[in-house]
This record gives sequence, C-alpha cells and structure tokens, in this order.
Amino acid sequence: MISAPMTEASRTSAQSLRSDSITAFDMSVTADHIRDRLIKELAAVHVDVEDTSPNRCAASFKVLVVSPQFENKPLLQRHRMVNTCLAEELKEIHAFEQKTLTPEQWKKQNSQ
Amino acid sequence: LCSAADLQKNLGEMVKKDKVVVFMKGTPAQPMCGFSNAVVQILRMHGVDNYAAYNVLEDQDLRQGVKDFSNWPTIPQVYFNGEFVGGCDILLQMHQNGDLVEELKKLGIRS
Repeated sequence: MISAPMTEASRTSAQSLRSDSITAFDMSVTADHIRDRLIKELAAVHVDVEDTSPNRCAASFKVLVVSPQFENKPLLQRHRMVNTCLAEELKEIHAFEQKTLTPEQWKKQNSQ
Repeated sequence: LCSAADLQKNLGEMVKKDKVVVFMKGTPAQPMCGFSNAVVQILRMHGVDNYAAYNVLEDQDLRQGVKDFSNWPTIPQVYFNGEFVGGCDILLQMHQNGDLVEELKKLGIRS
C-alpha cells in the first residue's frame, strides 16, 4: 500500500521549502504536520501518525515511517533521521514513539 | 555548582562506569513514566539486575545534559559499555528481534 506517492518535482520543492516550514511552525504540532514533514524530508512512502495525546498529559505521538532512505541503516541511525527531521516539533512533544521500516520490511510485515 | 562543560565530562564518565547505564524518569523500583518502566521491565526480563540508573526528574541539569550528550531528544536513554544504544522503542525492538540477547552476551550478561 502506498499512501503518499512522491514525484521527483515535489520532492525537490519540499527540500527547498525546508527552512520556510521551520519558521512557519506555530507551536501546535498536529499529526498531519508530522506526516507531511516525514514524507517531504525522508521521502517516506508510508506514514502512520497516531495522536496519543488523549492517553497522556501533553502532546504525544506514535509514528510508523516507511522510507527507502532507511535501507542499510542500523536502527539507531534510522531513529536519529526521524528525530532530526522532527527536531523542532520534538521540543513541543511530550512523548514520541517511532517505528522505522524499509519498504521491503513493510511489505514483509503486511504479508504475515 | 557544575558548569555545562563539567556535566558533559561527568556524563562521559558516568556512562563508562557501569556496563549498563539507564537515564530514566523515576527509579527501577518506582518508574515515573511508562517508557522508563518499559525499559526497566525489558532489562528485568533479560536478567539484568545490576545496572546504574539515574533519575533525571531529580536533576533538571542532568535531564537536559544527557539529551545534549547523546544528541537524543527523549528519556529514557540506555547505554551499553559507554555506547548509546537508544531509547525505549529501540530497546523494545532489540528485545523482539533477538539483538538484545546478542548485545548483552557481548557484555558478558547471559539472558
């Protein structure tokens, strides 16, 4: 399942917009905002964002990120990529859970 | 009073002093957060009883300092042999895929 197909053009424009989107950041982090960023900056082909805030006392999110950029990268490095992508947002987020898969791992997990 | 540079130096020593080091909210006996609790439970499951746990809720400088030290934005944080391993998600996945047993074996801990 591919929920967010990316064209080469939109990827390039997303990269050039990076600094703008940081300044446009307005304190209220939403699931959509997180999803958009991960798709743009990590070329994610599938992103699930669950807002777990109601279970906790402050902004909390659980994300699943599927990106070909994770290939041949150890788990710690993948998580660092997500942390870097969401560095500004994480300052406002109380709790953050993440799972990082390559498209191949994602396919395998879904077929089980 | 400890300067930020001193704290970073201390952290370098703290993570090397024990084979397994955890920075968490609360203590192993009384974790104050679900994620910290998950790390404690996973270590317990693998028979890791003897580890250094530092409560970041008792020290706001430590809480920020350890994030800067590891360049990692969240607590808990786990270190093996002075090396940053990851947070709760990573430890859980290592537990599930068998990597944790291997890593603990390298430390001479049989789980």
